[in-house]
Amino acid sequence: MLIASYKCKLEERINQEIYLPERIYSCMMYTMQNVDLEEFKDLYIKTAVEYVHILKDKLEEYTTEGNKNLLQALFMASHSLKGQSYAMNYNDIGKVSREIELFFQDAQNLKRIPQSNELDAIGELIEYLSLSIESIQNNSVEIPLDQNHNNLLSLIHKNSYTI
Amino acid sequence: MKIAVIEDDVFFQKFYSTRLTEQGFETLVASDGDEGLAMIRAQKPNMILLDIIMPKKNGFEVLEEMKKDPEISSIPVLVFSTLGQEDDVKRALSLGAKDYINKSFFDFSNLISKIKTIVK
Repeated sequence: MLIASYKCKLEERINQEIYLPERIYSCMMYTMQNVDLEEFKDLYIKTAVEYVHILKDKLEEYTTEGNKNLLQALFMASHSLKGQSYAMNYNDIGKVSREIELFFQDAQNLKRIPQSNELDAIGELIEYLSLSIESIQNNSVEIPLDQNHNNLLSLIHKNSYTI
Repeated sequence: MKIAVIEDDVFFQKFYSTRLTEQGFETLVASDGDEGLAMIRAQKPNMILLDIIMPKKNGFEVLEEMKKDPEISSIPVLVFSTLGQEDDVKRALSLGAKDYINKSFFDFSNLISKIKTIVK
């Protein structure tokens, strides 16, 4: 009953406002989903693995060549992985993907110049994504973010983000 | 009723086309803006679910092209968004989209309600 009431309040707020704080968004992942996600798990894993491969390959290319055209591919892959991970309630994978997405969006829009230590951090975070998806495949759970992951996320996070 | 899903992400394509088909809608799927526009012009769906960030032509470009084409300009569009796309949603609404839905919520009853409101 309480959950239903909370859900209604949240839905009302979404209808009234486009702005959506991230902490409310995380809560909604638990309260609003009414579909059997298991049915989509295999498809999630298949597509998530493909996105992680793109991220690995393009990051390596970008690190060695510095070709700015690769930023779009890195942005698109992280954007897609973010959306489907949050949809499946894999919120830590969603969070990491979102930070990578924001990083490459800003780089594309010339709001930041990627530094080598930041690219190294992203490489480590992509490794986390890979292991976490493997964990979902084998054990049906993602790997929780630890202090090291959070430090890496802080490194690539830009304070001017509005959410 | 015919609904076009224009979305590059295979995961969301599959989810939304499966669920809409189960609800009795005829579903058409396109994977990018170019393909989507061609499909809209050929099939004239009753409504369009449109992703914003896509290859070839993005959702904004699709909305702009639709506006210029009287054959398809009146077809209602509901845009897909995800976390962090608040500004994108505002821009899409200013370009003529009727409403938006956060595709990661999987709140299907809300989607059906919006579809019914828009196409009634």
